[in-house]
Amino acid sequence: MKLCIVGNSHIACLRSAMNGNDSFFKNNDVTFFGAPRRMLTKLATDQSGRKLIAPPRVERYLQKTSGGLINIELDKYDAFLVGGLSYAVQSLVPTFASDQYSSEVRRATVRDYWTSQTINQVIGVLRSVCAAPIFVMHAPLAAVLDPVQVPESVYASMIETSQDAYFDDFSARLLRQPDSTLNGGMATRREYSVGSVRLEGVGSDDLKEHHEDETEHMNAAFGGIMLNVLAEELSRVSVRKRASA
Amino acid sequence: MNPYESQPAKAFWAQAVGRRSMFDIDELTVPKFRLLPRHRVSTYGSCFAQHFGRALVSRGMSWLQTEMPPKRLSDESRKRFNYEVFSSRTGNIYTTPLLLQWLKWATGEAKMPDEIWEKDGRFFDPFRPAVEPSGFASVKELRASQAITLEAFRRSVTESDVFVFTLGLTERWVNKQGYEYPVCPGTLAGTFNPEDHIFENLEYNQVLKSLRQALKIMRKMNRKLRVILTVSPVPLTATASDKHVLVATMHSKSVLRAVAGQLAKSVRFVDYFPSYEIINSPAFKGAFFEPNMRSVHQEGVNFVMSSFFKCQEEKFGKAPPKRRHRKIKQSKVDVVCEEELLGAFSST
Repeated sequence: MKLCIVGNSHIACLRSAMNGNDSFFKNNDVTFFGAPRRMLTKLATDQSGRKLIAPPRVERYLQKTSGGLINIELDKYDAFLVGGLSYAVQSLVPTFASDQYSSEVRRATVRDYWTSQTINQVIGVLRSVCAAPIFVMHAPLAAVLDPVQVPESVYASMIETSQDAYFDDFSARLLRQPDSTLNGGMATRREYSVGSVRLEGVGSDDLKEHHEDETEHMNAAFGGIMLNVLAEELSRVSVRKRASA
Repeated sequence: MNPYESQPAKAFWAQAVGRRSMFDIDELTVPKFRLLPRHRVSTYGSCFAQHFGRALVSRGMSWLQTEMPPKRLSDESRKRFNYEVFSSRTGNIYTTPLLLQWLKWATGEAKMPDEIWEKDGRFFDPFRPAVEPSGFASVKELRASQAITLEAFRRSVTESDVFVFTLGLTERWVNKQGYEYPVCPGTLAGTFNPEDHIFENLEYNQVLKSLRQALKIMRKMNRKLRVILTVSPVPLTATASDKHVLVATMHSKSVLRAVAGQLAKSVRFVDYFPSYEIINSPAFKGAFFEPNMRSVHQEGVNFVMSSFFKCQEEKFGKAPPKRRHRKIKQSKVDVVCEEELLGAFSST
């Protein structure tokens, strides 16, 4: 299968999983397109409607991370994974931690949150011209040392509501961090942020690590786990495979 | 020398009003107490009361919010779900007996009735029919929300320094069992039943008595609490009386204004601020109303709130440095007013 991974610095953990001989990369032909922070807000379709293009400043990043491509030719891929492009996802979790808020308020909260994120522009433009399956890996829950403890089911409930109230509108699938990666329901286990790598290295084997105190970005082990989650989701959907280019 | 000779300029219409631009009319009231940024202020009442809280925030004052929205809920959704409209999610409290009813529920003196309105599988709170525009998903969810708001309302009384209440209506709808609804059943939600639902137009003594009782309970809950009363200048959307809506409006507002004045005069910890006069006095030529002559436009609201703080400054001097504050968007259309929905029932 030809998979296109689009995102910001959080896709670096998926790329770094490649070096761990993850079986995912043996079974799938994966192309990365990354640009830092909110730069992908500028992603747009070209006149043909079959390519996603970006301003020159962003193109440079796309070229580097993809290994030479400056735009995303939609027909070349069977499925898309949009990664990161969302900030402080853990701030959504407390809304689901008690019966303080009604289900409608919770739905409005997740809808408002996702709509305000870069992910909204990216999956919006992608879905407007492309019928292929879209999967979403939100920016990982921060790996803070002493997180507020809520049951893991609270995080699961947030993901489920996000899917129902927002991602279903795009026929996109939001991936959930497995419980094994969680430290309580609002954080990622610290071990998954140690040795996390920077986006700059995506597109090469020269992966540069974040500072040892990094809590927002995750490492290859986490990337491998999320690729397994993706593989499981991919096995559930019908993907029309493209002919080899 | 007669008594008028020693009166200040503000006592004479020509000097204080007639020869002035309406924007230069000042010294409208002498506040009884000072409002400082450290004072926590709760706000409740009719639609017009909603402007008060936001004006406090924009001037660096402390608007007490005891029922907080989720962090990630947008400003538009906060308004839609009645967060940051009043100090808690009570919805509009139009009448003084309705305020008293909330206080009795909050203190446990009375129990909130079990009545719930159901429509198409969704559940509506008869006492806050607009806080969840499409209703609650279940009775359990509705009850949980009621309990949270009751507790938040109680805290907004016990934890505030100043309680601002805007009196809105004298017309009300009560259940024959004795409790009051904020809107007529069958308008926003629920079903109107003439056997159960009774219309009343409160008289001066009823308004006065219920507000006195409410003040008594509030002071019992918080012995340092001070109260500022205002009267909403917004006319009735519709009347259920046999009067013309204009006449019914003037009657209602006159009763409310008289009660507010009486209590401000006779109760040490109660003050009155003349927002009603600022908008409705002939001196202001109706200039602060929208073309429908009902809605008050943003400049009018700003003028009222500027006058409020100007009167504070005239009496107590310049306020100390402002607090850092979060911006809350202001717009002329973002007032949440259940009563306005009555306009939809006009036959023409």
